[in-house]
Amino acid sequence: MTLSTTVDGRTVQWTDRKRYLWLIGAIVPLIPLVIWGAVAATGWHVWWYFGPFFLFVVVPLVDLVAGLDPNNPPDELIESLEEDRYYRWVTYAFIPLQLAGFLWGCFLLGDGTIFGWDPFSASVLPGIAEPLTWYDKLGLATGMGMVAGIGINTAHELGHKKEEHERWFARVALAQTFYGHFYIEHNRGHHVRVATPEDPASSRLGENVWEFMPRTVVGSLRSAWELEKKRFGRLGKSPLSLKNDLVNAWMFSVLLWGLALAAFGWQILPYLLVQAVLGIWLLESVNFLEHYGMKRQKLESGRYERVNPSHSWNSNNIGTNVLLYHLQRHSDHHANPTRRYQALRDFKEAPVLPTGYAGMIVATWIPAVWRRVMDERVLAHYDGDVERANLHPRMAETYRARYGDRRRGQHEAAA
Amino acid sequence: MARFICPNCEYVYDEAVGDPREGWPAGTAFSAVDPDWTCPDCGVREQVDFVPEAEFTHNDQDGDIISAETRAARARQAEQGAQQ
Repeated sequence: MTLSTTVDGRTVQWTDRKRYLWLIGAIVPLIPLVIWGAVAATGWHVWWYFGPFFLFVVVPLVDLVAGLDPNNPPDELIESLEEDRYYRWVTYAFIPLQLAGFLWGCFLLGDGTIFGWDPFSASVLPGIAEPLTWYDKLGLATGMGMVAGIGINTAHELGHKKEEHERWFARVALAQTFYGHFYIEHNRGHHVRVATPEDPASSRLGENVWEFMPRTVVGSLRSAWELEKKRFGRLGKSPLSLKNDLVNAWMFSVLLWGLALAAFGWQILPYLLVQAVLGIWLLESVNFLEHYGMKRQKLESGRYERVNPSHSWNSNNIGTNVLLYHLQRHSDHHANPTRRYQALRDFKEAPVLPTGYAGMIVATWIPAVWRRVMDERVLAHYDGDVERANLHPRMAETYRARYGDRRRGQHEAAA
Repeated sequence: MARFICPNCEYVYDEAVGDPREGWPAGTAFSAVDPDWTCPDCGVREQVDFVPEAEFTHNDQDGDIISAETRAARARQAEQGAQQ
């Protein structure tokens, strides 16, 4: 479909080549169904582990093979592109499919009984002859965890929007991971303090992903609570209320998990925890790589400089971009947080990751590999000046010793 | 009663309406709103960044790209004004 507008007698036309590719994101939550179908059809147990294989092997390979997509919509058409309702329906479609996929996964984990009713008798699942082993179920839970993490990304897209119903959809998409507070903390906390030492969700130069995890998970929860407490303080009311956006978002989790446990048995609880932890870990891994080492400088007024394209890592790899609603066009997202995904642009001046987010998550697993891939890029971004980066306190002396002479060399050259 | 607009996402703070959800009851003057209060929609502008709506000519981030929502709201207001 081609969009067209006339500005000052000049006609601007543009075709969105990704228009129908966005549908891929909407069918991802059906992974638990696909896994079951593949096992039923082939009998191979290895299919239970398809989720992580898809995200950490298939998607990075697609990114490497399919390459880059630097295509931007023209400024004149951004408004009409945002108004095209097709794109928001693609994100809405994710949510019922996510709930269906989640409940189907729970049904399989619960050995095929529903509220004590055993339609396929004696722990046998439709299409599968033998009961699932614990490692089959663990594999399925990892697949559900991948969907859970991608669900947080869908919640992210919806939670940024001005429409009230989209903000409620965001809370539903967060129910699977018990991460309802993300909707508040991300918009009112992370976006405000991004790329500063005060932001728990902005990683620092020299910090590894494993020490970042507890800092961001605990810090974000605490910050979310403080934000709502402050708002209720202004209202002169107690934050212990259903109107507290953390409480009402968590209620969706209580309902969804309560329903799943009641219907499919308390035995599925360990697997529910596994999938939630994996989903949260995926989301926080993406947080880790989006702003690694980036720092906004403090102005004389005491405020931080405004967020600009230089404060986020970007990628134009089309595979992960289609999967995550242009999340990797992260500089434009931070510049214009309410802008809809289909209208986000690539900025030429923004720093770029060597591959898509999916492949970069794999690189975070071994801190030495991550540092080798990223540290030189951070240094290059700051013209060799390690003091301009968001330095991790634990590693600050090491980094100053390692890169400090570059800074001196640069200052001498400038003099 | 004055109206102030976020120069990034074009959220409008109308003093007559306030923003009760945020803790600013109807009639709260914009000058009484905390200077570090962040825009409830985009989160990336604070009270001190807002501009009087009448002076808002372009987006401070993106120039001429003004959101469809703002244009629609303005059109609605103009229509209501015409009816009254």
